[in-house]
Amino acid sequence: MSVALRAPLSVFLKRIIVILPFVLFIAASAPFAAREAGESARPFFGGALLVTDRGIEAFANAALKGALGVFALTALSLSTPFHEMLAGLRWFKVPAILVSLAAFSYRYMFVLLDEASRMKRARDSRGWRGRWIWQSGVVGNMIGSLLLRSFERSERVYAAMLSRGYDGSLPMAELPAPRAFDFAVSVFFFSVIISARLFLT
Amino acid sequence: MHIPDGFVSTELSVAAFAISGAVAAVALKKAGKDLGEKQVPLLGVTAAFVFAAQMINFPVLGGTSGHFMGAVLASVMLGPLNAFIVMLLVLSIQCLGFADGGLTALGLNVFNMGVVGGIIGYYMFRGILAVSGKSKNGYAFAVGAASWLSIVLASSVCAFEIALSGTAPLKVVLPSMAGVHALIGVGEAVITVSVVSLVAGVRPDMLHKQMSEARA
Repeated sequence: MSVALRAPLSVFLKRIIVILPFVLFIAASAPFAAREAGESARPFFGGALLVTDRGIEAFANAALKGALGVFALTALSLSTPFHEMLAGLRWFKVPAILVSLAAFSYRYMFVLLDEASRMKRARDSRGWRGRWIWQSGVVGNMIGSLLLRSFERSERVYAAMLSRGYDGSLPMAELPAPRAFDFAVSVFFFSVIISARLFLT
Repeated sequence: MHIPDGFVSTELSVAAFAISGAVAAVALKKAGKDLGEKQVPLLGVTAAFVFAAQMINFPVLGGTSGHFMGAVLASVMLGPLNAFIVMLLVLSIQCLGFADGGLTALGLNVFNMGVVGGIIGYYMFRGILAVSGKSKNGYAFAVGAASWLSIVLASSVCAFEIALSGTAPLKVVLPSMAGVHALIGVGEAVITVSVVSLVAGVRPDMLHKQMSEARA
């Protein structure tokens, strides 16, 4: 599995553990669906909560679909380098300007994330311990400085790009040619999905 | 507020993709016409900025924390359509690169945070500004109130979408989403106001041109 992901399994699990609680948290509200008159319900916590079978079904439905979505997207993002993802978007006829914008953001995201974590480290090493919402002003000033630095960086980057002959379009990676293996895997999974839909109800 | 896969009905996802796609087409056309190629580094870096800013948590109550959305901030700085493009970029990259928010729900997430948060947030800002007056305090009030409203409105729309799809009843999901975000919105407002006043003091030329006219 980790070969197919092109990443260690532990990285995959770590990514999933960050996102999954949110999915389960939202799904947890599903069982409280309105109970119809006469519908039987199971008492939980000594009758404090009444949950119907339909509610449990709704929870399982949302939680499983949500979890599968997270698995699939995590596998996609770990196995596919971002420039190939962008080439794929071009293949899907996403406008070129949007794809160059996405390429640009992705490139600077990590630069600015590092900048943000340096600012956080500097703040914390000066003894800041925010616990209450009215202390958010400190975060506001940090984000403000980050914004100014980002804008100034974008001006420098733009000047540098112009001086290297930038004319409004970014060079894009080519989509790698599909191999026979890719076709085989796709056909296999599509036939599993379609036959599950046809024969299992 | 990122909706994962499997929480909303197919009809709603398709409708949201259609609306968000149409708005994206208009916004991209306008962005191309207005500033040309200079727009790419500016919008790209702003999207990267919003992404990084969302990683800085702010405190809420007794050690819990929320994070910044940045839709109203982007629209006050760049105008509503550019803010929409920025949110579109942030959400697409979070979805494709980090599995945050589902692929089938991307249209809805862009609708909630780009259209409701960014575009409607901007017009709420303009509306409040017309009432609160263009003094320094009136301006700050309009920025703060619009930020708070954008968070509460976007999270309520999100709750409606989940309820409309039959995943959870409205009377559970709306109070919990709107209640939590009424509090997170206060942080958003405090941060947006302090960021905008910092920028207005240091680099007033960076505010959206209608904004700098409004201030003058």
